[in-house]
Amino acid sequence: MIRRAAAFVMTVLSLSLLTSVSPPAAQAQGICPYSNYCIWVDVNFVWPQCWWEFDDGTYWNDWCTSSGNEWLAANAASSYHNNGAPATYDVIRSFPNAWYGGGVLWKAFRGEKDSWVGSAYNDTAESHYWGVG
Amino acid sequence: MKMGLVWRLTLAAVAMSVAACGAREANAGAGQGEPELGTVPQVDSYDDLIFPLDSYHLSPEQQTTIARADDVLVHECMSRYGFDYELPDRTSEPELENRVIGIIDKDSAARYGYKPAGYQEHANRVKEAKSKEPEWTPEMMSVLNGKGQSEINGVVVPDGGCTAEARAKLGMKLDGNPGDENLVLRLEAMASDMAEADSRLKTAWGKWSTCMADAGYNYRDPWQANNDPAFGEDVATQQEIDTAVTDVTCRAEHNVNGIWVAVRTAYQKQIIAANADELQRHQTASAEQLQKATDVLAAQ
Repeated sequence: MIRRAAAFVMTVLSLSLLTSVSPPAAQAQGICPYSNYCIWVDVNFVWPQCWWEFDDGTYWNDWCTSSGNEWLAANAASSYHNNGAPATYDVIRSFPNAWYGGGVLWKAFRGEKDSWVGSAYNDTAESHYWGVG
Repeated sequence: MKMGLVWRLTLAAVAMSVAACGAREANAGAGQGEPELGTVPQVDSYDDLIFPLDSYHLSPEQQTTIARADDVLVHECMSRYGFDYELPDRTSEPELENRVIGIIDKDSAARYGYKPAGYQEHANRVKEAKSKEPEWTPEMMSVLNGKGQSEINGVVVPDGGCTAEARAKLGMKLDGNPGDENLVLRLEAMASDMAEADSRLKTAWGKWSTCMADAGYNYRDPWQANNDPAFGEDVATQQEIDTAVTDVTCRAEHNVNGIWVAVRTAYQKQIIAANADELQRHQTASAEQLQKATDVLAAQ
């Protein structure tokens, strides 16, 4: 009985992990270009993704990889990567509203990869700029 | 009985799963109902506007000190593998205004719409700086991030690369726990979310929305106006400016800013009380990072 219960628990856990953090098998992890800040609309860096070399005050009006428009990125960031080298502007400030409004959601430090921004932050990023430190 | 055991084990497993995500969670405080507000101020500028969690951040100058020390340590590490480059110029400069409750300044609204003063200059500085910086080679990036070979020319590459080595020496953390600035940012975001769900702020937003509608602008709350895709151009249109000026006027008419600040302050106090130990450890860790950074720079 104990073994059956333990098996059941392991199944629940496995399903929970599969649905919460694992990318769909058919999708591939995206690569973040050098010196860019990238966000993905799914956990674990799964496409579609957007990347920016510079500041962007609103995720509604520009080109974005794989979707043709940034609207997918607006309100859709679940993972991110700052693929910068040491540079004057190498720390990202991410905001929950356009034009850097609403207070900083997170700082993405140089080289930082976050496969899951957390439930409180999921699908909230709408703008960012590069900062000095 | 059998189901009871299964459910207890299931709940325990779920609890373990949640605990594994602990660094991402925080205590919102167990207040009974909505917190009391102190004096509701009049707010029409971000000058001198201070929130309780502000004191848990290092100053921009202190953050720059740590970034410079990190640069030095990364450079020392990279040089072990034969890589040399100029250190970044980290001259402190004013950040863009941290507009936690959106636009509140009428003059700024009349000039920039929903965009913050200096946003174009900042964007241009970023573009110029990035265009002048030499591109790091893939080999350099491999050593920087520890993603390539674990040994180069007989020298072992640190686990996580030179970035990880430098951050370890400074005691820097990126795990959401005390010592990571994102801990404070997360608590601030939580306070903002709680404030924006508060009935008193929602009532104020309702009055603001009616005021805006009377002027011909239909938005449910100030963020909906701020985030209107119609205002996505790099330079504010007359439509955006007119909307933003009316926005500020309607805020003033119903003291939306003052209520917003009072409510956000109340939730930040509640969150500070509920996370006092974690925040104390964060302050201690931040002070230690700053001291280590100062020592690194003094040794240059």
